[in-house]
Amino acid sequence: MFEIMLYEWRRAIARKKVIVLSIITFIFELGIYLAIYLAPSHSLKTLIIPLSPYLWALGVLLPQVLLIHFLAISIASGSMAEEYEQGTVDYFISKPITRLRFVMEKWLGSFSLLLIIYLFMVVLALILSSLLFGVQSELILLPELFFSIIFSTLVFLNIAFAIGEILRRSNLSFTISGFILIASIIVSDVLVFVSVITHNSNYETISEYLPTWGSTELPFMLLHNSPFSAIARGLNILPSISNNVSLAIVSIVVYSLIPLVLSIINFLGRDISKKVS
Amino acid sequence: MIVVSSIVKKYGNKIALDNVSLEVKKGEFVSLIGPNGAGKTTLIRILLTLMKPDKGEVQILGENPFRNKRIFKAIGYVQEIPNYPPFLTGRQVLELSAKIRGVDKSEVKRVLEFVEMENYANSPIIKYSKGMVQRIAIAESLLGNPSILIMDEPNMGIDPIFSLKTRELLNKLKRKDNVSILMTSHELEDVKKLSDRIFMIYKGKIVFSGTVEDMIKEFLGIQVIVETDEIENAEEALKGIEYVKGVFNDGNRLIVKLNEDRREDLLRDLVTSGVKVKGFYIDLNLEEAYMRALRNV
Repeated sequence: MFEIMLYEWRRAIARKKVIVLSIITFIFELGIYLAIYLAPSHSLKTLIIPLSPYLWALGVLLPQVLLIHFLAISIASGSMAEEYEQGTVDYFISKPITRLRFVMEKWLGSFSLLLIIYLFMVVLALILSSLLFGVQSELILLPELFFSIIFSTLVFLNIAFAIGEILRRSNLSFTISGFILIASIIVSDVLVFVSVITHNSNYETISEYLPTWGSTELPFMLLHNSPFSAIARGLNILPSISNNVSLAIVSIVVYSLIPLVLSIINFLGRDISKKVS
Repeated sequence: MIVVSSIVKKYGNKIALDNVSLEVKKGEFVSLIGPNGAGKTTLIRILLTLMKPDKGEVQILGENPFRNKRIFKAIGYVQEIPNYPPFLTGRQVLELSAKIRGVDKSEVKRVLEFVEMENYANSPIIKYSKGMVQRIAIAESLLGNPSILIMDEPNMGIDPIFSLKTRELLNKLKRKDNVSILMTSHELEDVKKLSDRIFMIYKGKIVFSGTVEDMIKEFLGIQVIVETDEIENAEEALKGIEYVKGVFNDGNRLIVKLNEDRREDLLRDLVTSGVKVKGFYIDLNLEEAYMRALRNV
C-alpha cells in the first residue's frame, strides 16, 4: 500500500520546478521576516510592535496569497502527464494495480507533498517569528488557519492534476493552470475594485463565482475580527467585501471536486497508447 | 493460460485488430510475428489492460484482467522499449516492482545477478545504455518466478551474448518451470528455436497459426536438404520422380522441393540409387517462409 504515493513524492521532488518554487517560497518568507525585523523606519517599528505577538500568522498566510497555489500547480501538473510523457505509466498499469488505485495514490502523493512543504513553511514561520519578535500569542488559531489554507489549495492542485491527465502534457497543464490562476485573480480584483467604487455589489457577486475567490479568500475571512485582521488586511490587497465563509467553502469544494472527478473518469476510461520517442 | 477471443480494436476508422483470437497453453511458447504496424503491440497492450478492446474478450489465468488485476502478480512483462522513471536507479526500479507485486526483496538480488547488472544497479536509469535498460526489463519480468511471461521484442538492443543467454533462459523457463510465454519478435531465429506455435499477424488479422514446420510447409512447401559428396549422382537419381517438384544445387548439398510430404520415399529412392547420403533434414527457412507469407497476403 502507498507505494505509488511514496513514488509520487520522489517524482515531484526530482522536478527542478518544484524545488525552485519551494526554495523561492522559503527565501521569500525569511526575507519578509528579516525585512520587518531590520526595518530602519521608526514609524514602521511603532506600527509593528503591537503586532509582534501575532507575526507568526504573517509567515503562515504569506504563501497563501499566490505562491502556494503555484506550488500546487507545479506539483500536480506533471503528476499524471509526466507518466505519459516518459512512458512510465505502462510500468505501473502492467502490474497488480487498479487504475483507480493508481490515480488516487498519485493525487494523494501530490496533495500530501504539498501539505508537507507547507508544514515546513509554517514551522519556519513559527521559529522565525519567535526568534525575531519574541513569544507568539493566539496560536490556538493556527490549526484552523493551517487547514483552511491546505483546503483552499485543492482548487488549483486539482485543476492542474486534471488538465495534466486530460491533455497528457505537463508543460501545457502548468501554463493553462497558471493562466487560470492569474487571470482569475486579476478579474476578481478588478470586479471587487469596481464594486467598491460603484457601490454595486453585483460585480462582487460575479467575482464570487471565479475559482480563485474561495481558494484565496477563505483563510482571510476566518481571520476577520481577530487580532490578525491587520496582518490579513496587509496581505489581501483587495479583500472580498462579503464575508460568506459557507459560500467560500462551497466554491472550493465545487472547483476542486469537478476537476478531480473528471481526471478519474478520464483515466479509468481512456486507452494508454504507446509512448512514441 | 491466455485466451484471446475475437478481439476487435479500432483507432478511429482504422482497424488495428480484426477479430483476433489466440491461445497460449500452460508451458507453451507462442510467438507473435508480423511486420511493423501489424497489430502485435496493440494486442499485447490489450492483454496488459493498457488498452480496452472494442469487441471480444481476454482471459488470463481464467480471469478477465480488466476486472481482476491481482492476476498480474503472476505475469512478467518486457516492454518493447522499456520506460522507467529516470530518477530511479535500476535497483530502485526492481525494488518498487517487487513491492507492488508482493515479491520478496531477496528476489531483486537474484534477478540482478542473472542479468549481470549488480555493478550498475545503483546508477540512475537515465545513465544506462539501451541494452542495460533492456536487461533491467528482463530482470523485472522474472521477479517472483511468474507463471506467464509477455515479452514485446525482448532482445531489442542487447548484445549477442546476452541475447543467447536470454534464449537459453526462455527455453529453461518453458521446459522446466512450465512458464507460458507470449513473445513478439522480428528475430526469426529466436522464433524458430523457441516457439511451439507461431501466430502471424498482418494488418490486424491473424493470417497464419501453427508450428514453425507448418508455416514453412504452407508457404514454401516441403523442402529437404540432402548432403552428399555425390551431388551429380543424386541429381540424376531424382530426375523423373513424380513427387519431386524441383531440385536446386547449392554447392555441396541439394535442396529438394517436394509436392507432398514423402520424405521417407525420397530417402529410400536416393539410397537405392546408390547415393551415399551424409545428411538429410527438412529445410526450416522461416525467414523465406515469412517473406513468402507477406507476399501472399
